[in-house]
Amino acid sequence: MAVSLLHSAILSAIQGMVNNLLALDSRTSARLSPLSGKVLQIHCLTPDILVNLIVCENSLQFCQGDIDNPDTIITGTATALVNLLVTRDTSNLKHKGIEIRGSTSLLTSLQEVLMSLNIDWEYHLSKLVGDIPTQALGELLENSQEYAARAGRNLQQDIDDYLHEERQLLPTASQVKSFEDSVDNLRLRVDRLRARVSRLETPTT
Amino acid sequence: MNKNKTTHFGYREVPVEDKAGLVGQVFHSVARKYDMMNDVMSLGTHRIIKRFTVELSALRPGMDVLDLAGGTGDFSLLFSPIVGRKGSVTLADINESMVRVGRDRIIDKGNPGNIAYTIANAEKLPFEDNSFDCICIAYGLRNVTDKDAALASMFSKTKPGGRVLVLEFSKPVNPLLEKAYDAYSVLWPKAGQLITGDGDSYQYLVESIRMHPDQETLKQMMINAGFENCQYHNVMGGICAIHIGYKPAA
Repeated sequence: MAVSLLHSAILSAIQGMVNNLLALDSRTSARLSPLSGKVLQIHCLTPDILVNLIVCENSLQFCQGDIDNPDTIITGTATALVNLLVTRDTSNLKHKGIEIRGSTSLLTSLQEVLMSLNIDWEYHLSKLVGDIPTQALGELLENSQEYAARAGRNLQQDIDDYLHEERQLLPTASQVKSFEDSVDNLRLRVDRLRARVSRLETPTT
Repeated sequence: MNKNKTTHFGYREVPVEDKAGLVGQVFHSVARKYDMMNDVMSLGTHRIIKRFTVELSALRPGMDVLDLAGGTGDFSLLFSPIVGRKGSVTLADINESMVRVGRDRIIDKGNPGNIAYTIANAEKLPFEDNSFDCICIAYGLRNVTDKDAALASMFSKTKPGGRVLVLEFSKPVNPLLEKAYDAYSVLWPKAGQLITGDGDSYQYLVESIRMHPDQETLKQMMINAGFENCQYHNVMGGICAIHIGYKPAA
């Protein structure tokens, strides 16, 4: 597999971002240490890229090219690999276009480390801008989140009302339920009628 | 040693025994501004080339690596987090000023604790045989008086199955690129004069690059030293090349 300077530059940027993120969580070292020395090889089929992820004591090293005896090899398309990165469900991977060889525990452990990053943003921000602005910013962020969640819920309700009640383009949940019940009822009556007809057709002895 | 025997120092022919001292003066003179000049001359690309070289080293935690001609410690700082506390990095350079600058820089960066420093001649490495999983010499072989002796010494200090990486300026594969590169490198002594106050050292750099063996010649020299599966990667059209050779497994 060809290795290139451009891929190296891209990997360097990704590695920097991932390791900076890992460094923000104080538990990273304790979580990565047991995995130190293990190598996860990621082989993307389309586009054809081979990346090795070497677990070090408190960081991850990304490198290209073949490496001796990786502990886990993951093969799949770019889409399937990205899906694997963002999902917690690692069951039935073959159907998701992912092939894994070697130890799957390394994959799940790494996924867990990345997924359960617990970064105290306020602590790190306070070192940059000070305590008071951090607290103000934290409160602003919290209020914004609450406002965004409330606005989202309201918007959803308004759209719901508009489509169901005002324009009556879509049936309401109770109408759908009533229709389903009617269909079920009809199915039962048809079944009963079929049984009755069948019984009448059977010659009596 | 034969007193009449000469070797090249840039374009000049000098007695063999004088070259190490002359090279030493060059690096002693530029040590403090060495990193800044690297950024200027390579337009910053030396950083990514070094990273690329580290990728090719295929190092893993627990391995022992020799950063030969390690100078200001760029490679040692890249190797250190990979090999971790169970492994080791040895920064070796013939020039005391460069080792001092490298050591101070590594301490300033937080001293990871797995880097050792030594002043050593690449031709006669002061280590036990089969000591290192990987030996990397970056932009250093060009300055060694007896390159064959240095390669032989590296071979003996590499563990069986280990690898040696040689990152060095080389010959551009495209004639147009070669002309452009030659024209650009003419500016280096002037930049050196401006930044370090020593244009002569950078004149030596330009000349020594042109006197350095091309890719195929260096590959053959590595094969002659005993390395197997030798190969090289041209970087930036052959302006630099990374040679890799493996010591046969026992």
